[in-house]
Amino acid sequence: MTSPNPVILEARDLRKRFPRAAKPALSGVSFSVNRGEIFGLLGHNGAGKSTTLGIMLGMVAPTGGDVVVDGHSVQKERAAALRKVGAIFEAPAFYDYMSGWDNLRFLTSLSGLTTTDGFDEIVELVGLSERIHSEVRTYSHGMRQRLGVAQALLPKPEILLLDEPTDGLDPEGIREFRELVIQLRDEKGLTILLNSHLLSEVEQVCDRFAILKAGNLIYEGGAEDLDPGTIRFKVEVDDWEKAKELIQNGGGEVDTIESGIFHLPKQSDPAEINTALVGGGLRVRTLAEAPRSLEDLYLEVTNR
Amino acid sequence: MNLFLFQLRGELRKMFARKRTWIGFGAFLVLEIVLLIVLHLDGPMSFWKRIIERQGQMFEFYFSAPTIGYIILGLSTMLLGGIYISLVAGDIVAKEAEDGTLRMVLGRPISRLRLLLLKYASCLIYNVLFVLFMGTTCYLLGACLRGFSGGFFAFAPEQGVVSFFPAAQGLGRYALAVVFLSLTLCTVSSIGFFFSCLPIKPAAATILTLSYLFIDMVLVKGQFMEDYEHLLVTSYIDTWLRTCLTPIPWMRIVRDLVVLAGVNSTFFILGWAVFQSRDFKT
Repeated sequence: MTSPNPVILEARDLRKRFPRAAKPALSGVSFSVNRGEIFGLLGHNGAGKSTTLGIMLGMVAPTGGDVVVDGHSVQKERAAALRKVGAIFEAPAFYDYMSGWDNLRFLTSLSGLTTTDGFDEIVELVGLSERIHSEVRTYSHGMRQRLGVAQALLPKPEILLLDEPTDGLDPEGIREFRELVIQLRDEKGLTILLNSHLLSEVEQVCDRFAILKAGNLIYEGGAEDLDPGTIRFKVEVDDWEKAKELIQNGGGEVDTIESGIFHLPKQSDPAEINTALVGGGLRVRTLAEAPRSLEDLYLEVTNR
Repeated sequence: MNLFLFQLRGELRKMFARKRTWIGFGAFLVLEIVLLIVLHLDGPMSFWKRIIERQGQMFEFYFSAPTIGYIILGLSTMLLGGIYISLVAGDIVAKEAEDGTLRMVLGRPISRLRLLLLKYASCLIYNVLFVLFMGTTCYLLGACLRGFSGGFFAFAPEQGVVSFFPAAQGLGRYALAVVFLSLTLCTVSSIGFFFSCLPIKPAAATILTLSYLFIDMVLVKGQFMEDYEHLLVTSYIDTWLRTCLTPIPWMRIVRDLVVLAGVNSTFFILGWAVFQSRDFKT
């Protein structure tokens, strides 16, 4: 018996130029998502994230390249490829005049489901049991989003594509959604691609991520892979301009983006910097290691 | 096939769950009642009395439920039929694109062709049901005024129809005319469906459909287009009136229906070609 291909979703040299657009939306984007991982797709507005997702769902025809889902080309075998995919969109739209249940019945029928087996379980999982027979027009944004999750999960997909899924949710809703994503990966073994500009969200749930900038892939990997070989420190002093000079003289590199932040090579001793600052007549209130957040990495990579 | 029918049932359930779908039915009933009241006034009544008696027939016998139904059906189809059928057909794709529900559908493992076939089929079913509803209510309203007895007088001079039928045969001809009207109006649905597949607002799709039909109808009525009438769809749509000729010119009717079927197929294929080439961003 052969083990399944660890790569379940692959974007191969995706290119897209929309009619009358001055620049291409995508210029040869390639990345792969492994089975069972949560993969983040990051980028500024207009970076090409939604176009990438559109191509993955067969809703946008690429100018070149292909998306392969578990061995099936989305361009050539769309139905076979999408049978394994569920999608959740930012602000999902439903037929407001129908109940949540009827929406699920209709949408899943298009995926080939002719029964309502498993509906109750999924509706309960997303916490809509009480209201599932009410008209969708009476639903809150959070409830619509949960109905969006239900419609994506019902055809029992192996991959979930999430497009800005927490946009418009309140903090509690965002946390619930985050927990649900992790639960779906851990308990149902789903592979999840999360398209988001909320870096904290991606940082908390994603195993790996890709960063798009102006239609180009500029990074793919985990946060730990993006090791710049330095340690990041935060310092609080009464005169930052003078401190910058002393830090640079001591072999440190001052952060160009954020004030009070500097980087030291891994082997360096921060105590020497502290001594230099105090020796320079500065009052050092704080000097502590400040680990890089995904936001720091993202800004570093996108500003290169 | 079973899956297609199952999906079609879902599409129809969705269509008939919308209040807007039922507006046409309600509006028509109101229009029919208004026309019935107008028809009952002295002026229109004496007009029809004159026409029937000029043919040497008895007004009391032939101004009956099917005759009134036929008159109201002709008038209401001309006044509002096209509007409501094109309203539903114009909405069928464009409204979903506008509302964003289309992306929920397109992200599923269903081909665009199959999706359009479902929508087109539901459009045609709506069309047929709508006309059958019109035909039935027109007849019943006529019966409210004149009772269920009486013959059937069909009058459409442009198609050469001036026919009198006894009661039973008249009812059969009336039913035949309604069925053929429902078939010929499928072309209105097809034109609306085509415009709905374009990247435009649903209202624009409806307006374009009505504009097309209006221009086509004006050209048919204008004598200067007589040589080119075969290119105008409304000249074929009128063929339902010929079911009231004696004998029924089946060859002409079948020919017209075949032409309309070709027109319908062409509009469907054009709509599909446009829809297939469109990008829908998430």
